[in-house]
Amino acid sequence: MVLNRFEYDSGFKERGKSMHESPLVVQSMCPVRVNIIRRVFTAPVITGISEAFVSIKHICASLLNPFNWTLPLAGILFSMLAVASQAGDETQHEFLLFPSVEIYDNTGVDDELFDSAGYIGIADFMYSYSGNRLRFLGEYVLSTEENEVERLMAGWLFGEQTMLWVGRFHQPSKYWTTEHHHGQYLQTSISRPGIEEWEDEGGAIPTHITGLLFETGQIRKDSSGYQLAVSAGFAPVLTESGLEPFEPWDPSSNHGAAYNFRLTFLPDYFDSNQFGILGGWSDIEIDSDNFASQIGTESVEELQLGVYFNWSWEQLRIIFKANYLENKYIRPDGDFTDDFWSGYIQAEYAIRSHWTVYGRHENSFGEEDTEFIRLIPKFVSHRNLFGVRWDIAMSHALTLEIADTETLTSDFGQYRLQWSTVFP
Amino acid sequence: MISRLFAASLTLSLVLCWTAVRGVEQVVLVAGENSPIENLSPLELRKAYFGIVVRYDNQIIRPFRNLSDSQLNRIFLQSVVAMSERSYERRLISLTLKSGRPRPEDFTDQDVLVRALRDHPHSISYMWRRDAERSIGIKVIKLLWQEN
Repeated sequence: MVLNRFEYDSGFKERGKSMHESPLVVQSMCPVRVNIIRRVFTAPVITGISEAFVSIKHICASLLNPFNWTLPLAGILFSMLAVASQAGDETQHEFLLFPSVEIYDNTGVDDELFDSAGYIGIADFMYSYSGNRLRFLGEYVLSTEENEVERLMAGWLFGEQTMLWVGRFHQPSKYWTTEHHHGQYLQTSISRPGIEEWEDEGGAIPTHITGLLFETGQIRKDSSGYQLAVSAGFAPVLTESGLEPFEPWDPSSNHGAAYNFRLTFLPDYFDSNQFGILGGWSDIEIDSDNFASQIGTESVEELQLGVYFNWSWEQLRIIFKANYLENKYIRPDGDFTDDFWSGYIQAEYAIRSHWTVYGRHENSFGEEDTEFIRLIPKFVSHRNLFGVRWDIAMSHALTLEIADTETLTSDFGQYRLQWSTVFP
Repeated sequence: MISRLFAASLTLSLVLCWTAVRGVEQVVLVAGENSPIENLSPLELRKAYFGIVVRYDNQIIRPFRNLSDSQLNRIFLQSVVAMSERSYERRLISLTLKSGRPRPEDFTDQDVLVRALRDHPHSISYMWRRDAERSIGIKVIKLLWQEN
């Protein structure tokens, strides 16, 4: 059977749907691709060769699309310039490894999105290079669930506390994420709140952004201070299974724009006690395999605003966050808007120096009537949990957690047991 | 009775002699003898030991931790960073993971520490005054703690 080009292009499964990435345009610009297409169209086994075809197509598209090489090239040039400019300066390197192993059981789950039981092993690697002005940071997660470059960023230090980063980072308006990243050992609980989840775990707010991140801070003489972080970059897309971050190394990866900020006040700049405001706006494009795209929605403009605090009194610590989210659906037949609230409060109490008991209440209001949440089936809208953490030796922890979890379509119990640590 | 009084007097005399010989214990901030660093405020010192950039002559100050003596470490935690060891270690790891900022380097051997201070002019550390005065190639910047 010989496919005509239109049929082939229509059936070509890829996420990027913008004009510059369509096979039609790439073919006209890349002679190598024309030959490949001729061969593919006449080959008896299209599926086998199509893999090679896809690879070459990606390379061609990558070379032809300025967007895809501008950012990495800028990053390389930036780094070379910076390294050259500070030759002779003292440099420092940091390496951290956060391993963790978790076994879990989801009782009463009737949704295929959640496994009934299993285990998760995670190794989170962080490396940083620091010169007099230049800093480089990479974070990579290797787990039984996924392997992903979490952060890859180069930064320039202006003065003592102002930093401009370029690359892929965790955007600043997700407090929990930017406090713990993938360092499981650093967070008391095993799970993270639904509104703070990663994109592929049912997160409703974008986390991984590729672009620019500006961070600054000021310490007063009494040790109090503030921190401000502002970011601008490329937002995730909404696929069939939820949000999917923009991948700078994948030319078919689609994106809209995302802008986020967080302003933090610290009564003691060196302590973790803090409170602040945060927010962001993201233009989330919808992938063609998502139901919303099939009924005509082109994108969702998500506005989110929130307040939070993290406060300790002797043995008691409270972490609170409330988020308001407004979603505007861009459709050819007219835009419409809906909104909802989501938040959590977590209380931790240290019994002696090695035991901590904790509980968390998560709640959402109006999410049942929000189209956007219906498109993210794993989003946890309600959860009550209780846990105990035992800190063993200097940097090991064993944690047991019991939760009652609700999504829009499921209500089930979760039991988790986790060991976590940090090296060195 | 006389023998008891004699024993008490002897003990007191020995204690006084020991104190006089030993002197008052002090912890001092030190740097290499060629270091341009003349002084640091308590806030700058605390910043440096939390990995926050502090510059001197446009160069970043590198803080070294002296872990050669457990009592010295306790005094450092109490009077410089004002945190328990567990909280301080955890805070350092958290700050490093967040922004890649380097943690203070640890030294368990004081001779190695002294060599490192001499090799890195913009580095600082702390030690007992008696040790600082005995060490060659380092200078005392300021007093950090004194025994009451």
